[in-house]
Amino acid sequence: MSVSEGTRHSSGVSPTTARRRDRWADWAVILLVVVALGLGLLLREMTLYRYDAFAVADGDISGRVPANWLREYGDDPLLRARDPRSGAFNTALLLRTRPLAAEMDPTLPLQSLALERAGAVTAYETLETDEVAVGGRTAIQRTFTYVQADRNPYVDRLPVVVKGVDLALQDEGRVVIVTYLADVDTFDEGYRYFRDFVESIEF
Amino acid sequence: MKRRTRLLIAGLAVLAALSCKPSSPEVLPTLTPRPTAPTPSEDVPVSEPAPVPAVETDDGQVRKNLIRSTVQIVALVESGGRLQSLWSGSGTILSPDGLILTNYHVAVGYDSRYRPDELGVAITVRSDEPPEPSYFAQVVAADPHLDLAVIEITTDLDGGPVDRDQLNLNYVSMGDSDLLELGDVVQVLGYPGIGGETITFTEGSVSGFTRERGVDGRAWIKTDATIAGGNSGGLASGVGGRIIGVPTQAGRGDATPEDIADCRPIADTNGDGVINDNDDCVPLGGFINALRPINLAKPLLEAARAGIAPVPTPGPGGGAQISGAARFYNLVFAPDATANDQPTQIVTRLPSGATSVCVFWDYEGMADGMIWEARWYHEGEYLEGASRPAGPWSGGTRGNWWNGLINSDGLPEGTYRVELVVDGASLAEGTISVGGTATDASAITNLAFSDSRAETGRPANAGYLLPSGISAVYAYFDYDNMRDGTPWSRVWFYEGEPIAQGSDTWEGGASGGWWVSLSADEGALEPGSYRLELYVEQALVAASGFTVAGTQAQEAIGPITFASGVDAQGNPVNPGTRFASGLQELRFFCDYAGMQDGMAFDERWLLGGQEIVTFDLTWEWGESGTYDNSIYRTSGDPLSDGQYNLELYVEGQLVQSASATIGSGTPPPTPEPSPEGLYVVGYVYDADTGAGIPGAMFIVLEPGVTIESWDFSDAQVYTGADTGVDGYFELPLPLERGQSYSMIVVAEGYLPFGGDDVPVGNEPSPHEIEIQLQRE
Amino acid sequence: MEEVTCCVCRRPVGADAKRIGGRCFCAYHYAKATQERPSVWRAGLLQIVGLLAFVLLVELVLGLTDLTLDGWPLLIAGIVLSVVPALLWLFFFYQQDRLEPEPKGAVLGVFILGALLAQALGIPLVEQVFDVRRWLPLGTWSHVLGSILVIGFIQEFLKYAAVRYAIYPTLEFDERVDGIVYGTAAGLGYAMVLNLGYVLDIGGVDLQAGVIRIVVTALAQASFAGLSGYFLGRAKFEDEPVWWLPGGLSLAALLNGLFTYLRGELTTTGLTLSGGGVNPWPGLVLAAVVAGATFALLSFLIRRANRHTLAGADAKGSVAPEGGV
Repeated sequence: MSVSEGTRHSSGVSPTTARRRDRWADWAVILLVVVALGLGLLLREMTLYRYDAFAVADGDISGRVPANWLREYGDDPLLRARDPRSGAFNTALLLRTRPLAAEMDPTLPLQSLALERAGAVTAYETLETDEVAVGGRTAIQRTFTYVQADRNPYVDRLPVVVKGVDLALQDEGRVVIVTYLADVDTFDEGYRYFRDFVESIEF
Repeated sequence: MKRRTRLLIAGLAVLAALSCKPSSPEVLPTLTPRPTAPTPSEDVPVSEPAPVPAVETDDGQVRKNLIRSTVQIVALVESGGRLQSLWSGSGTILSPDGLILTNYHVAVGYDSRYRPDELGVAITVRSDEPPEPSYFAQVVAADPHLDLAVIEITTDLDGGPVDRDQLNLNYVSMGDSDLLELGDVVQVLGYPGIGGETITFTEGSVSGFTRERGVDGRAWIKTDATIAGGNSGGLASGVGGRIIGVPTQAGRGDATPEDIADCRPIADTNGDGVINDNDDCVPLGGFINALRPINLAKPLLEAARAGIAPVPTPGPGGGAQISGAARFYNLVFAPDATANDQPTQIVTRLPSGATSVCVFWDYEGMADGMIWEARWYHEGEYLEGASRPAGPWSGGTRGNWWNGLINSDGLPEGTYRVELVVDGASLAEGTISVGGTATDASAITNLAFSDSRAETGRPANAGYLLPSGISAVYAYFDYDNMRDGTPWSRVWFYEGEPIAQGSDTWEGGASGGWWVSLSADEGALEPGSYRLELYVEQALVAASGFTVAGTQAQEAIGPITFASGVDAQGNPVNPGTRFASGLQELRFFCDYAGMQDGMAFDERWLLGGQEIVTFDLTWEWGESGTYDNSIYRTSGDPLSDGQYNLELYVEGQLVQSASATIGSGTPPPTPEPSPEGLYVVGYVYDADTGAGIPGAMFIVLEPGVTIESWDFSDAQVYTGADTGVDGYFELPLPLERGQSYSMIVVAEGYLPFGGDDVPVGNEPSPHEIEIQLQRE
Repeated sequence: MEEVTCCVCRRPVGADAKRIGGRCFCAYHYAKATQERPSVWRAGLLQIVGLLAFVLLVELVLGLTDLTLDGWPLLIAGIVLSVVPALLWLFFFYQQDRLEPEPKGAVLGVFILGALLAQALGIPLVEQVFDVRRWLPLGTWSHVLGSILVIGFIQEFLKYAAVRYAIYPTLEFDERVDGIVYGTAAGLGYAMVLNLGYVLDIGGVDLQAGVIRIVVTALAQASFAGLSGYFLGRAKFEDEPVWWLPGGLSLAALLNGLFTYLRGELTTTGLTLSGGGVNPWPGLVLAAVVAGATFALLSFLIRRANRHTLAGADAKGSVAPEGGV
């Protein structure tokens, strides 16, 4: 037979309640930490993936590039955005257009772009070509790699293996080519920027 | 054991297991020790410098620029896929897109048997290390007579074409060699040995100038600096770090062809895999004491820039082919040479204060490539600073030549002896004395020819080229110190043979003008080259040659017509004087008459007033007809915009000129080095480890832009640079002094660091800065 | 009917048991809970002074001898430096705590637990999962908030957990001061791993800047962990509202984050053409001040609580301890 015995407490809280409160406190701490880390993740999202709007070709093409990236505008490429922090090779997003008749194969300008690039870099090699869906449209995407060796004789730099993607979006009479270039070690990390950039492009 | 304790230990064990995963790199990375700050401008071995007046805050920058602009050129031959080096010399970068000036014999060689297949260019990055091979280059403009050549960087080390606009090499700007004076300080940089040696720096002063036929103005700058052979083709700089000359081969006083060219066995000529005395020697660098003035290189540089210089096929060169038959004769002295390479007057003595003396002679049996020199002696002492250094002959087989020495302060008085030595053999010599008052010997000057006769003065068309079809030629001259009653005579020569002579007693008075004539007995005077020699009391006092060419109705060369091309029938396409940009070739046409095969015919092209190319031709197109020729860029690109002038010379005399304009008439401006400013280089370190941070970026914003207001657009960035493996960077553009710039340094994983409105003061250039970044 | 037990040892106590803040204590543990422990404060003070002296000594040696190390010697020097702060405190604490000492095993155990948690969870979470180095420096807000929310909470929670789940429920944790003691131990363990990881990751630190950074890290981690330990100490022996512990942890995280941010600001010098970057000394001063202030404050609070308790109404009965545990 089990019995319990007790008496009235003169003041304060019953031990049971106290213990229950202790447990609540413990859970509260855990909850607090989870919330704090959640907020931290949110902060990380917001900081890393913040974008600024841009427009080139007299407003014809617009989109969003990562904030804090250096932006250069020109004739070709129309826009070149680079991450100044990303180490020896600056991760870059480029935007170009090439004229192309509507019925022609969109791979054609990618071919000429590849040949042009191959002349300026070392060990250029195409890895694969696929069709991808971008915002409801299909587009041709080509992945390639090359070695970037800096030609400056006065500063020593190690050559960098660069992995890149050319994506051709078809438009009337032309092809808009988006290029993503990154050091092969940080390629996956920056891929999200490329996707966000491509999806933000409007023309 | 208590339950709690057991739980605790279990928990610890789990955590211990978890913590053993490699969260840090397993392999300890090699430590990158903190680099010692280099001082590239301090490590050049220097002879005691002459005291420099006034402190130049950018002197270090000037010196660094000179060092980086002097390159080593390595001549290579290819055999079986391997490259072997033949010789090396030096060169100077004259433009940021890779035009390099050097000697012809460095780029092409002395001997036709040993021509390089490739030219390698090595650049000094740190002056205490040998230069680093960086590019391949090719000859784009060359003059074997001047022994100068311009080469252009074409490919990088793995054979890929170089983007010339992206090269951005250090370069020196052109000085003016005509402004040099005796005693001026000259600094010579170059690479003396065959590889493995660092850049060397020698200083000396100008010890003299020489003149010679075929070269306008100063032909050689002599210096007392001892310059080793490999410096050939390198950089001689004067005030302000501008190039004023190119150290070029010369010989010692008793040179033989082998001695001159410092022949050494450096190529495996007998193919036995070993280089030793069994192999033939290759002519190389010897002792240098002469500089080719930079002004002589300007046409070559313009030609290279315009891209239209044809590279002349190298002459036979190397050892004498015709020996024993070479002859120098008719040696005479004159105070100066006319523009037509004729003696102004023939003298046997010069008054004190004379500033130049020239020796003229006729020659035959010579061949291009024979090594010759003119040695001058004063009072028996060999004049190192005034003698023409030994070098290859380029005057052809026969003709007349001259050589001279100048001293703008007046030649020291005394007896001067000149000895002309060809292939080690002395072929002619003469003596002249300088001193005393202006001579009172008879003087005959300004000898010129015309086909018209004037009783007083001389006709306007007096010159040295006369149209054919004339029956008489009149020779006009001025005279001084003549005395009536003195016997005098004249001898006329045609093609080197005397054809007429006459003698008289003078009756013209002490001074004035006179003429003598030669007429054909029947018909016209034969076209060809003539000479008149005037004697007073059996002494030769004047001589000059002239040529008869062309017709009475028309000059030898008619007016020039420009066109953009020629059609199948040989007619001009689109004749005119203005052409649109993008013209591929500029062609010209001219009618000619009365020309004679064998005459010297020169085409001289200028762009924007600067000579770009001259074609020295020998006429071979008969007596009359229409002649055409063209210029185009050897690279295939269209000709650049600008005003083109064409000058045609027959027998050295200008007969026609015309101009045409392409495009807007203004050629693209040649880049000038940045104005003075502060060049910033430096290191970015990790504050905790002291190691350099590669891939950090140092950004300088345009003045007026603050870090806050920067919207990350490239337009607001003045300049920036990435760091290399050890954290080293160089800003490509200088910062303006007295200006303030906002600067930031960013790198991944480090707190960004910067400052607004950092003032630029009087720090010496180049300025080294050390930045430390904190890890996050 | 409910049983009344000692909230520490769970032994039944009489209705007249002593209470603090609503909780019942057996006589023995009541006495212990309110015990003064001057050794803790003295050790803390000695620690701060000792570390400062250590830094100055190292700087002096490096400055006078111009010693440069490379490769293995540099690595070993870095490791030694990382371990010194913890050893120093342990030495001081054990030396001071001779009167009724804390079980050395327990202190050491929490120290090691703090270290293991840092290695297994703390560093991977901060560096890999949250990838802090990439985005924290991107802006002021991300810097401050990130330091608090991510780095602060992770570090403080792990140290808190080391104390809360390993030693807090046991009988060894029987004084208010114990919270601070064990908190400090956990903090130093955590700091040691941070410093070691730093040294090994890079393969050797620049000793002059490195020693300052090591000391700063140790002082900071110990201070904030001590703060959350204080909250734990109070929570065990008094009834505190639900928000007490979360609040304490938040406060520790907040201070941790602010400290990190402030230190970054204070040690960055201005950029001139002569260079610039980092002056680590203000960081050291800040750390010493923070550590000193924290410990002084905690000491004051604990003493006040003890005095208040002893002078308070809940005291009943004798103070003589009854038997052992």
